[in-house]
Amino acid sequence: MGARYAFRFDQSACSGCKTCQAACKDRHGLPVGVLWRRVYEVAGGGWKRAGEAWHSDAFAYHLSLACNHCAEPICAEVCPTGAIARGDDGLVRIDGERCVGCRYCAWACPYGAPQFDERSGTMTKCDLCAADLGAGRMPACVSSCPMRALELVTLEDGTDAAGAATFPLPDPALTSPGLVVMPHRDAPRAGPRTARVANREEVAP
Amino acid sequence: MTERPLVAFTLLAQAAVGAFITLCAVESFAHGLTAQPAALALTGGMLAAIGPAMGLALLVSLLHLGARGAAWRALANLRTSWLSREILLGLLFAGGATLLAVLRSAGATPAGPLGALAAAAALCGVALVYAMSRVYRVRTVPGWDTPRTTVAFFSSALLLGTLAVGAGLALSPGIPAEPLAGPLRWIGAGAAAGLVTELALSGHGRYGAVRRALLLASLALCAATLAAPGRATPALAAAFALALAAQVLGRYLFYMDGPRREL
Repeated sequence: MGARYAFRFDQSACSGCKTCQAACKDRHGLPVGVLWRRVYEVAGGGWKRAGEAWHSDAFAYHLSLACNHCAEPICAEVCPTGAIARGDDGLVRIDGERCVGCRYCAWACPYGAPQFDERSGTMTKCDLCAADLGAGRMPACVSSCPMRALELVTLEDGTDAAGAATFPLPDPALTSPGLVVMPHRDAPRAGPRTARVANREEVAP
Repeated sequence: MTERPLVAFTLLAQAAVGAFITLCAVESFAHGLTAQPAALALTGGMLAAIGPAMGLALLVSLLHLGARGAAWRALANLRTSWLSREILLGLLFAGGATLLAVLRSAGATPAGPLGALAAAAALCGVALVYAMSRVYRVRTVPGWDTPRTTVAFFSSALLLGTLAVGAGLALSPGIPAEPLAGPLRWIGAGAAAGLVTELALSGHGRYGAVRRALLLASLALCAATLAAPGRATPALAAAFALALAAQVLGRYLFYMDGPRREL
């Protein structure tokens, strides 16, 4: 296999403005409740007492996430209709004509990428703005990012997804995602017990 | 909760498999009981209901689909998807159980080819319960990807199937107590084994105490059946109702808590 696409996300550069999320939604005309790209707000820490003094060690950073077009896509593996497949171009696509909307892929995907569209009764997800890519343009999320925190790069198949285990991301060995994360300086402090997704209602409607 | 139809589907299918195997065992080994015309009519009637019950379970499972008209496509990925395999095995089990009932009603005796058909259907049923558990044992869902899922699905089939058959036999007025006592002891023991397994697997999370209380009450009624099967037979019907309530609650929690994660 040759090169494959990957999102490279710089957590330190991201201001959490969610322009990428809005641009994706606008570009694909997504209905309320469907977010192909989501910006997670990760927060942790708090006020700590040291002797007579109180100090804050609160931290927060963002994670912008869409489908990572995994090299080993679990969504395609579990799909009962074969509607999800990874093409020769490395893109993982859902064939809406074959999808029955069982939501099994949504359970299986550790990134929450497949989203159920009530209008069609089928699953949908990021297609990396394939039409734009074919015309030599970047995906809407990448081209709209005002901080240049999000890029589309190419990786050789088998390349490690560096930093892709940053909380709250799952172990990249599970699906080999096309995702490179440049961790925020506070990311090493974050874990299931020390941090949380602070905008859950927004990203998981 | 979009998984509500799946709660009904999985429990009904597992109960159907457990009841089918229990009925086959009763007809094969409890000759004293099946010598009673009322008992034979009842087991035959219950066997005839298994295929339609499995068919109903499959129909209920369609309710969680977004595009039901294309449901037939769910058989398309037998190569890698346990969901496709689950549907195929469900259809084979329903078909086998229905064919068995049709042949019996046409006058065939429960031996020879009919026995082979029953064994094949039972095998499909066991494979179905295994496939159902594998549907949820996805490597990316730690809450489900554990042998506990497989054990829980089999224990669910065991306790619901045995208790459904036991309750049917116990509530049938035309069967004398004496030939019923032995089979009911075995049925009660099988149900107790399933209940003890469920108790061992039950967590301490949400509604854990409620579910354990239901399972323990059901287990106590099964113990009463084991101690005095003649007098305690109505208790088996109550044990079934309690166990069913516990399993509905447990399966609901399974879907609620299993796939929970940060993203």
